[in-house]
Amino acid sequence: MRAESVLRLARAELSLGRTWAIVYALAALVGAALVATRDEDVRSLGVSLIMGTLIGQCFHLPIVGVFHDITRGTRAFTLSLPVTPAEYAAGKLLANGLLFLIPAGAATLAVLATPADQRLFATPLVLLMLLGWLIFFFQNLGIALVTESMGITIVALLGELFVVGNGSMVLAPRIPGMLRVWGQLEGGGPIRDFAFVLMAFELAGVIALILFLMNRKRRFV
Amino acid sequence: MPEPIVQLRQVRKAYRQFSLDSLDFEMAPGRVCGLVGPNGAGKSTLLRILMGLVVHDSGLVRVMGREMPRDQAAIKQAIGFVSEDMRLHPSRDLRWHADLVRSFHPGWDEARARTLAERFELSFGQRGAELSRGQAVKAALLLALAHRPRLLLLDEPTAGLDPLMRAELLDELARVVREEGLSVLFSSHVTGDVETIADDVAFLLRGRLVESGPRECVLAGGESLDAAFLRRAGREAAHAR
Repeated sequence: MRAESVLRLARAELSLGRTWAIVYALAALVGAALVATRDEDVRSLGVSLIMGTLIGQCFHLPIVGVFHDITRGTRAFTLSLPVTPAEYAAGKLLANGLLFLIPAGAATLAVLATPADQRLFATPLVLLMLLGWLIFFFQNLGIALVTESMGITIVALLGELFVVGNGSMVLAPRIPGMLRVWGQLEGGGPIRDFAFVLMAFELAGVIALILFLMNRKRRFV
Repeated sequence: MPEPIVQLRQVRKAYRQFSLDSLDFEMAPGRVCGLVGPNGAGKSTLLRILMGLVVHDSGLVRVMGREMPRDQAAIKQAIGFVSEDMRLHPSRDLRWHADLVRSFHPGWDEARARTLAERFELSFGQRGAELSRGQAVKAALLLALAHRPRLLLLDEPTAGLDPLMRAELLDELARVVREEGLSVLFSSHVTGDVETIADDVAFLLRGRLVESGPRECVLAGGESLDAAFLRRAGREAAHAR
């Protein structure tokens, strides 16, 4: 895989998605500003705005970057350039990862910039959440790229949101020992260190798996 | 004898309801070859295999002496490709697309791009969404030709165009081919298109290459392309029975 080809493709993809990246970044920043206030109700509004922004991007970017690209015939144009399918996929992952990271990173930085006594979560936990969102985003982008099915991608996305998001929030407190895990994730300890390493490997593994599967695909039209 | 610019040996590609069956095909450099066949004959699949957009199940595919899809990035440096289902990004103008293509092709010829834009009556400021079907094909052709490819692959370039636009596009294509000595492989189910510009003709029927060769040999005794194809298709049907 040639890095310069990937960068050229990613630059073109970024140029196509820049307007929405600004809109999402503004929404995330407004959410972060609300989270930084002292009013509990306003804070929860801010959290839901940030979550809504990130979830919105998890739907929007695969739809525009993958499905529109296929159905509008622009992928055939991109693949007529001297690039390999793996380079095409890597360009998509890089550009869309950055497009996702702009609002997610902006919200994270804004949350971290608020005074410690006003923060909802400790700094490492905020960074762990960002890592978790990146894994979630790349999983769904990968499902879109590999399956080329909007139905499968949306069902997978909703399933993950339900199981990992809502389901785990309800079930986790009922599992013995989970409070201790949560305490370490927030306050520090070996479990938090392990979580960082595990999630970093998972992120790398997801990206490697997407590139591997894209390289094995036998049809691009 | 010069090395074929396109060479397929026993190429197979199976789908659920259709398959390319042990296809052997060669094309000499500097020729214009028309692939003729009804819808679903395998013309687009063949061209997509040559572009690496579809990977064949077995057999050998060589383009300009290199193996597809293994060497596809290098091969595509010297290919211009236009297909009926290819579109430009609706929100970006022709300049944006030209800059993207130029960034991948060191051989991009800006003067040639401007000449073609003038000849095709296109403006670099036109966005993809503002182009009519005919203009979109011309824009794709401009982008495919301005990096001075050795081989032009055209998949049903005239599909969906009105007769006037089709004739205009074929005239331009014939002129470019004459001026540059390009090798062109193009598919069409409109036999008139093939008769207009092709040196060689290849008939595809249900995934099989049933006849190929110089146009004057395939069209024996002043026969029309339609008649030759129907005769060949009839013979295949009788053989199958």
